[in-house]
Amino acid sequence: METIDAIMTRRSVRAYKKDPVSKEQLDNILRAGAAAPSGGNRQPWTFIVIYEHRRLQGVISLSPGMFSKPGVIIAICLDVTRVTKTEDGDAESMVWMDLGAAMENILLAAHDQGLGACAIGSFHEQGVSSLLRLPPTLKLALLVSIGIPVKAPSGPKRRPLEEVIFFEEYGGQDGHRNP
Amino acid sequence: MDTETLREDLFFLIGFILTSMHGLYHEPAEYGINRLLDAGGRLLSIMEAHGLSDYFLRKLGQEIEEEKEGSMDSDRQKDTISRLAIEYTEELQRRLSMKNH
Repeated sequence: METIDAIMTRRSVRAYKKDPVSKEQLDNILRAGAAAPSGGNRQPWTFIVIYEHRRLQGVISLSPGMFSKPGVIIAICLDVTRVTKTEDGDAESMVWMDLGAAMENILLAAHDQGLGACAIGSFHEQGVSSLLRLPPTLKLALLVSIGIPVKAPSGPKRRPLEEVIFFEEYGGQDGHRNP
Repeated sequence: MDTETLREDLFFLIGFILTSMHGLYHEPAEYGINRLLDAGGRLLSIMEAHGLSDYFLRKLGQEIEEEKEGSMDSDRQKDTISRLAIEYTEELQRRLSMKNH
């Protein structure tokens, strides 16, 4: 799949078939997540992979944002030992963007593998962290559910490009499009 | 019926309900509708898995699952939930009248 096609056709898939995600597919997805760009090459992430049935059930029961049982869940955690201050200023806010980049890589790689995935922010942080036995140095940031999609959801409405993109200055139109 | 598995499935459901309540203090109010929709679907799924379902409940569960699978279109969701509530009421009346005869 071409990169631009993957970006434009990816959807948040919340319902999955019971078929498992293959090891090869999962390996590709995890490698994509770990290959994300990060400020200062901090790579401030740790990924916890959950696929055992009862542990999946446990995480789902503590994650209201997860609508159906996926084949696998990837918990994206911030490694706080890798959050450092730089001379340019506070680097802390950048590490969240790094995790966002890792999340997007995971979502796109899952889509490329013919799988469906969804980033989940609604979970009981303390409960899931405890279930996963996270040390104090890891902060649970996001869960990504992955599985065989039941169907491809239709795309949500997007804001018009003219509303979100400007050229040269705020409010500026594209001279090439509107000479 | 496997009572132990049923007990465990319901235990997981309670976890979902509790953490949903906790999360809704900080989440958009409309998420509450999705959480209730999901709770209904999870309960119906447990009933199905343990032989406690029937034609009406099975169909209701399928409709809820389809709603969950779609994109979050609030107008369509509202129409679906309104219709399901009416269909449930009709089924309730049918069941009550059967018991009275």
